[in-house]
Amino acid sequence: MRLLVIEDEAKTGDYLYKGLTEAGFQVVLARNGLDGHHLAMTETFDLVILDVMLPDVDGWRIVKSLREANHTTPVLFLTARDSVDDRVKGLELGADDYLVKPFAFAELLARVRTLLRRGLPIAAVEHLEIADLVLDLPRRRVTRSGKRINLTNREFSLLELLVRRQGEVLPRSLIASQVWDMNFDSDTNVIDVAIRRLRMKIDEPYKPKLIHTVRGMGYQLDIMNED
Amino acid sequence: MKISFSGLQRISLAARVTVLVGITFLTCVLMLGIIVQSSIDRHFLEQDAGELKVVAAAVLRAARGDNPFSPGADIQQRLEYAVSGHHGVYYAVYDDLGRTVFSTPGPTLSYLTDTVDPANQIHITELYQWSEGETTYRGTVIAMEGGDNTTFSGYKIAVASSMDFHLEFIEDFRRKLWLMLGCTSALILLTAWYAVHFAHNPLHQISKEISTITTEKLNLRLKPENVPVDLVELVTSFNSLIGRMEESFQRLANFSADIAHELRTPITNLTTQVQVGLNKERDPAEYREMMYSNLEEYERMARMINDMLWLAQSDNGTLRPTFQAVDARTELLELIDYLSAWTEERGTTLSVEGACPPLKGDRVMLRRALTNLLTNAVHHADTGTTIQIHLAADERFVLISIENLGDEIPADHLPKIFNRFHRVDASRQSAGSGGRTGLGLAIVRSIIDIHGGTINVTSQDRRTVFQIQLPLDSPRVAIP
Repeated sequence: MRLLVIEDEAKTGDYLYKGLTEAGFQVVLARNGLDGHHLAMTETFDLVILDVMLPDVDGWRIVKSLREANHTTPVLFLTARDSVDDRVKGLELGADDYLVKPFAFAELLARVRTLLRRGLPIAAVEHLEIADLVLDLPRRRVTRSGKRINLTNREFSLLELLVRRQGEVLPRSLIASQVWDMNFDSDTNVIDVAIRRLRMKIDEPYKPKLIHTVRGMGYQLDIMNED
Repeated sequence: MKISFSGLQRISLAARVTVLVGITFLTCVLMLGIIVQSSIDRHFLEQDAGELKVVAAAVLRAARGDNPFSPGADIQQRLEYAVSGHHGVYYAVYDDLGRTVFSTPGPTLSYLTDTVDPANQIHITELYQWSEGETTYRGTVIAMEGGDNTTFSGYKIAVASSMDFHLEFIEDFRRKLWLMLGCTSALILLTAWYAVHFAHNPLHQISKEISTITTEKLNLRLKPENVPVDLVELVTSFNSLIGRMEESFQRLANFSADIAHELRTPITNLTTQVQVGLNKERDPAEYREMMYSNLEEYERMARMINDMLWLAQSDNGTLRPTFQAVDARTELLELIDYLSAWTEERGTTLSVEGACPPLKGDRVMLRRALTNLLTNAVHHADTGTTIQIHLAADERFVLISIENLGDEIPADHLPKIFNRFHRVDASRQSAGSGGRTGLGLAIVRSIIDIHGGTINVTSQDRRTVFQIQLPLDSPRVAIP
């Protein structure tokens, strides 16, 4: 997956480059609007991440040019101004998602993956499997090692999210938003508690452990070779 | 056109009033002058006419010999003494052929008989005025009707009087009149101009007071009781403008102060931690631990900044709620479901009773407000207790009350708990305490305000109740 990052702030640019590269993406970094505009228009990327406040060619122009040239590349814009107008403007111009600075890197990563997945045909599967864990989607049933595990409705949704995005670190905010439709930060560790309970049901008595805490980032479901 | 118009608009009020008063008054004075002058003229005309009538009658009697005092005298003598007691009066008698029968010394009256047709009566409209030498005369000619005596038929009598005395008087009077009117006009204009200036004094005074109001002295107000009634409205609206400015200024100042204060502690912690950490070689696990700890602090700061920005936007009225039908009960049940794992772990339960019709509100905002209130209640509830949520409604409002059992909020804190960064438990103020920013209830109040609702809190007998009243209809109230 090839990403274009247009960011004029030196440190942010460096860290985005480093973080996204380490997350397995091929990243091209443009440090000003002019280069970014040129790259976006002449090369092919799977996703463009751009800062809207660039000193020369601003982010809005780049989105506009892209859309006018009928490029459907998803665009995620970063903004430091959390005003409704900005967000509406960005989305109207054809951007696909936005993040307001300061944002968590885990959040950015999750959004990037969501955008990249968008448009891909969703496999109409009835069963999701990982290790010996099986989710029966139509009946909302879970078994591990052939044993039926009783989950509440929300626990099932949470597990489904984790399994569908296997290997991705999901930040708490994303989990809250996807599972409970809570689109704001709250002062609680609700997600941690919910994950702990889910773990007790599906991981505690079994091996390998599937749900992992990525400290400071979020949660991840994957088969790890640690044990 | 536009320029000249704006030029006209800029003419001073004093000039406007002076010019208007001036024009009006000058017109009046001019008319008054003309009326007085023409009356005086007419008065003298009538006086002259009267005098000439008397003289003419005397001459007529003398000519006829009716004068009882000189019955024997001939016509010359009779006429010579015909008039007595009148100064500057001239007369002459002409026979039917125009020859002079008698003429007093003075102006040539034959001139009159040549130009004026004789009348029977002396009338002011038939007086004739002319100058001879340096003297101006006024006179007329009458036919001498003899009645039964035909001796004098065709005779004419010319009478005239010198007008110099009158003219002098009139001239003098006119001079004085216009001088007086001129002076009065000037005085009136001056007074008008001064009056306007004087009337503007309160304005100047106000302007002077206004110029003393600087950003540091926004608490100053103009006193409406010290200005003329006409200006009370101006002063009041100015005061309310300053009031609004003071409020925004205060908010801005508080915002900056709050941010600075709340960021100082975590930044000090972070700096110290990193500096101490770098002080000596450590093993990787320790570095990682340090970075995790920093990360938590950063996240807390980021959350706080986001909350502060949200509040700032709400203060500035730039938040745009999208109103839709929201069923409070459904929302609460969903929130309880979301929080259930956490509350269970804390040994508390949430329970909703009652119902209410859907209200018009911003769903995301209301969820946020309710979440903040619920988590607040859970945080302060005793273990093993139930947090009671009660729903009710009347025709206009939805009433939501959230009640928890636990330590009371001290009475002196009650009015302040909706203030940003207000913490009842001062020890919580230390950074990194569970990630709570101290803005939760401030955000709640903002959201309730946006919906045109009210919120209040009571806390006694270990029972703390938050009561929200939300209008059923979308408020459409501008956010202050």
